[in-house]
Amino acid sequence: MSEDPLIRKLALYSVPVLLCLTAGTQRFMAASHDLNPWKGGGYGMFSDIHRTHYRVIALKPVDENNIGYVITVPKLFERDMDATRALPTTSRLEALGERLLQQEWFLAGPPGNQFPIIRQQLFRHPGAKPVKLKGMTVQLAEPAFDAKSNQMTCTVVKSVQVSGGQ
Amino acid sequence: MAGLKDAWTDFRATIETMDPVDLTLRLTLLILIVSPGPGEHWIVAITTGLLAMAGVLQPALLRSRRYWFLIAAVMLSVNAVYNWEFSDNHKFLISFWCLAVACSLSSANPREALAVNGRLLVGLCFLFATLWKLTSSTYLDSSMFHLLLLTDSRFFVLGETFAGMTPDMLQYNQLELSGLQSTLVGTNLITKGVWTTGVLQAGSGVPGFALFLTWWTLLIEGLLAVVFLMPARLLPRWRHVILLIFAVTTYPPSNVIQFGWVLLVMGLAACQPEDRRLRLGYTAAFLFIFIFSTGGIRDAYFHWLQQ
Repeated sequence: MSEDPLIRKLALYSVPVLLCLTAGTQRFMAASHDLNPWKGGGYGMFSDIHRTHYRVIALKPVDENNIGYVITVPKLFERDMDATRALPTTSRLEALGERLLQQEWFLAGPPGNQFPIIRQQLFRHPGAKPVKLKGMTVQLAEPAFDAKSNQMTCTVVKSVQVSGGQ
Repeated sequence: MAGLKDAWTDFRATIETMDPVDLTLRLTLLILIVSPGPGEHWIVAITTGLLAMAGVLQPALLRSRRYWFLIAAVMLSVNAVYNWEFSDNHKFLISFWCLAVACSLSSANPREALAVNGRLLVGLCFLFATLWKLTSSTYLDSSMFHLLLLTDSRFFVLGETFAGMTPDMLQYNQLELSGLQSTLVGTNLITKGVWTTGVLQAGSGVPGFALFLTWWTLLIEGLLAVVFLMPARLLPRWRHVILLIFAVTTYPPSNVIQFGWVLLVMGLAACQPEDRRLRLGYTAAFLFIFIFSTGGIRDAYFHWLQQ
């Protein structure tokens, strides 16, 4: 049975070419947008420390009086947090901060702390005071492991400010 | 003992006489049924699991390109598009493999097309893995494997056997690093810009063993890239022997079985029709990885090694 040469080439080589394109894109995204090398189809697993596990996203919201708070990130935001740790672009950090600012927040910890804790409505204590947030600093800290001292150090490499809120 | 020997004889006869394409496709379906783990997206886990069951129960589907295109479409749309930045590389690879099966079944010579796809996908996967490692400073100075041995449960048995790690050390290290995602660390980072963990606990053999793993992995993965990407007529059998040695020595102890299965099925597809022993070897290695990794045999084996 004779076969169209194009069909034959597609059957033999289209998927390997697709794999190369995916791996090339992943390599580009890792170099230009800090994509975690372990993920994304570029076969960079076990070539670097697992950045999604050890990257830290630090959040500091402030209210209208510029009082800073410690935020307890709700479970609902776990996927957003993981996605941002896997591919921490500036736009993702901003989007995460904006989405968090749009939530309703209530004071959870005792007032008078240097950074009082705020939580979402679902977890608030009865009579908890609402907090009106004005803006938020979202920072990304990259991990570095020192095999001589056996210590991990996270250093802030990116910081964005978002404003808005309810 | 005689029962075991009879079972092996039956198994051998079945594998050696089975059509090579059917064997490859059946093992691929087996991966789709048994491999979804906790990280699998539920749409992929349920849909491909049900589709694969249908393929097992209805053999006519096994050679249907539409059936394999459907499986590939589900897997690629979730693993390579919707969830791409979370997806492990073996999920990309199994998705591509299902697409390669569909494309191969569209060709006039499915066996040849499967063989070419299998050989190239294995070779390219190891080529990119090797390039990543050669260009990563944290890999080349062995700190990547050093950290894995200290903190990763999948590597603990290896670390305990060859590097002096203990369960307490692993637990301590995991606890120390899990604290990185705490609000305390976040607050400190905001104010100071830097946070250093406490000193992780390490067995005395960790640096040496990490160095060995670093260079062994680089050597064998680089070798696999070369032998699978060189023209098919060169070293036709040796490439399979190297892949089998790699799969059997790498995936069971490190407990990364899904990747091992996908590579073995693609290696099996790349065998020549007359390579009956290699097909038997691939199928036995496939089952060995499954049994060794899930049946408690792995722990018993390493316990015996420690004594």
